[in-house]
Amino acid sequence: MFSVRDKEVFVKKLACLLLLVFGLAHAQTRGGELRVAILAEPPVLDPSASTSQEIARMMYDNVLQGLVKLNEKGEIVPALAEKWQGSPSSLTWVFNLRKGVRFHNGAAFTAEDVVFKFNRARDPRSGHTNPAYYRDIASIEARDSHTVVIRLRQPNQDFLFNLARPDSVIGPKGRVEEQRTQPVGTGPFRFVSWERGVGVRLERFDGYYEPGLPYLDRVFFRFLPDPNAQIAALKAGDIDVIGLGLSPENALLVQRDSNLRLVVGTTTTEITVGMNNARPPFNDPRVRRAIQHAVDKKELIQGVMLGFGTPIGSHRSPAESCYVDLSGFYSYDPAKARALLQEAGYGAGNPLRFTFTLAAPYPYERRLGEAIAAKLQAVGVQAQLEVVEWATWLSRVFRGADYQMTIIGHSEPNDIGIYSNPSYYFRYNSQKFRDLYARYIRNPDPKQACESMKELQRLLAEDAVNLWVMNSPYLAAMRREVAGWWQNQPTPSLNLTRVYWNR
Amino acid sequence: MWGYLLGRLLQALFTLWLAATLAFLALLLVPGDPVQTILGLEASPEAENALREQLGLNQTPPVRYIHWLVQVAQGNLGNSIRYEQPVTELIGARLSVTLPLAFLSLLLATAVALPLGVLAAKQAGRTLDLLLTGLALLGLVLPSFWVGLLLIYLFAVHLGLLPSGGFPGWSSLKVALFHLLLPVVTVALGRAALLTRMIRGSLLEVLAQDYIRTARAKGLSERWVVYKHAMRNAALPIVTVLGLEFAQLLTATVVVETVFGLPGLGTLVLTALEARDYPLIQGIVLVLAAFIVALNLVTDFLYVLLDPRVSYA
Repeated sequence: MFSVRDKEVFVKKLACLLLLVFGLAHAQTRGGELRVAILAEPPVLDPSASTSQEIARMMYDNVLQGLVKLNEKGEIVPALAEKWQGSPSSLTWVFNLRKGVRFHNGAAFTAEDVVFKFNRARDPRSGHTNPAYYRDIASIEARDSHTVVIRLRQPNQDFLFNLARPDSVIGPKGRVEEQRTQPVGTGPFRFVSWERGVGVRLERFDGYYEPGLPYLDRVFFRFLPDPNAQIAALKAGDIDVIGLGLSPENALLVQRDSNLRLVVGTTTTEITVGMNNARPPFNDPRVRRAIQHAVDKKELIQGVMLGFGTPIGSHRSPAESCYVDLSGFYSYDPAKARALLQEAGYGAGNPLRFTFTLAAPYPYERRLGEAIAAKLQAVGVQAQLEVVEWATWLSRVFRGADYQMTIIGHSEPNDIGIYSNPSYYFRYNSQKFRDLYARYIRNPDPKQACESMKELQRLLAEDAVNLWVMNSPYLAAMRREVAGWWQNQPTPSLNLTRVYWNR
Repeated sequence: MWGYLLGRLLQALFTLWLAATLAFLALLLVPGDPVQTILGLEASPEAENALREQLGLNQTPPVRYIHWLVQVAQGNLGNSIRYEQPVTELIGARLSVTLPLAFLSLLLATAVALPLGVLAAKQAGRTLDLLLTGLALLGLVLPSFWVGLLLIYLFAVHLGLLPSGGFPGWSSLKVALFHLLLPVVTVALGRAALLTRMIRGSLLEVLAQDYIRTARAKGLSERWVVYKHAMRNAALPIVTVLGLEFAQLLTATVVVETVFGLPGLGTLVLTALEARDYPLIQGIVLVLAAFIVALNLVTDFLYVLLDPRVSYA
């Protein structure tokens, strides 16, 4: 017989046992190799040497880290800086660095590395990517070995966000050239080798500062340029994950395979039908508005993207902060589109005609473009399709603004500022927007800044600068046993820190 | 003989120079800028100018052209803009995949096409001939990306016998050949189809000639007539085609390389063009031209061996 006390002890012991068993069952298993397919081989492996997004996908937070980083939800969290004092209104930011951190080459991480990094980053002649992100930095100094003080010329709402970008990763002081092909960082994985044309190998960095992380022993990013070959390799068990570039058709295929798992999330990519606001016919806002009314975004997403993707109405993605849903700002209304076109002087006798330039390397943007042209045809608009390859698109459309209409995905996060540049290829020249953007970026109060950000989105929609079609879906496919994969892509990153084999 | 050789060598050098110059001029006409393709959409003009200067692209085309020619004359093809590696190193690495792929594919194709072509020629007009030429036509029209995917699904996904793609390098001959098997079969299929038809046609033409009738009239066995008398003459155009095919395969395998994820020369050409990687494109054109010139020389000398009537005295 048990006494009451014995019973109590027994129940407690049982509870402990259950907790232990349950806990173990849910514990992330250590070890193993993960093979991840990558669509294109980047030119270098340092995100501060080239803006190729494949670099950030492989390196960001896996191998290379900055003072702060973006997490899966798009929040800015500590990385090499443990904490910081500063606010959007501040001109002085103080970063307290994490102590005891070592680079993969054994060197200790100190304030000197940070000072070197950002002095280089803000120098436009240094070859560092996007020096504009760091333009407002007036000075940077090491107060002691683990404290860095950055002084700004003027308040910058995006300062901390820019420090979380892939461009802002920090390597050992003075290491620039070697960093391009043999990156050394402080992340959970150490770079092992880059076999040209084949892939990139990483292995677990035992000296990583977050205890217990990462779970995987080895990672192999394999370059597989053909999406169909990627699916075949996944099904054959030659790779474990297709981390990006999964087509909607293949996504459906993955959904039906019980060995595989489909991840559907958000990206920061706005698929944008760009219109040249400085040239006929799109220098007339009535024509630009007519285009908005002539297109049914939901139907496009259903028809071309098989339902994957979210309609948007301005240049911001639903996953980003201070987002306003303006996808319904212009209703789908062909009659209204016709009326607006008539008002602008176009009709049956004088139909609206223009060239619609599509970029060859992006099949889904191209198909969306073709579908949009068909919808425009229904309201009497004749869009002549023209396909150009990438380098031509970049020099003719993007740099020269020598085009009428085009379609492309804008994948940079938090990039509404491009509309404040009148020579950007949309050629949108609005003092009102520039004033409003200045109010946003220089605003000391985050709440007011957020309101300005919403106003910016509304202003773009009102002016119908472009036709924003949708936010690209994040589609990834992996073996069922792969756990801990990022659901969303708030920044390009195939983040492996917490990925493990659940078997 | 020596005078002839010297002449051929000078001719080869002229051809190479012409090919390189044409490649340089063609690239001036195409729109696009390597700096933009490297720095991407959001790069600042300052960064672009700095990179342009660093790459020497701020100089005028004639200066760049002469600079490049001088470099090439010293045996240096320069550095790739996109890969930031010596062009010779890049091409060498890719050739270590593409050369075996092209060679093995042609070998397999010839091994298959020779008996089939001869069989078809001997049975000309009959059911077997129709069947073989029909199959060859099918082999020609099937696109290689489709055949490749089909083979991957069959042998890698369903049967699990072979890898679905990729290339682990030559550290293990067995593993490397294992990875090349499906790509070789895919490339060989189209080539074998073409060669079968070539061999059949060439052999039929020869078999209709007088000396064959004489040989047959002498009472020689049909096998002796076909393989000893007819094949020797039928081989000349086939050798020519094989030489050209080989040169073509060095870049024409791009589709198969993409499907199987092989780091070959074809994909390198494509990437180089997309990135407007001038030194790399020019380097590849030069190397390919050198291959074709060399193969031509070899075929010319092979003619002497095959046909004693040809001489370069």
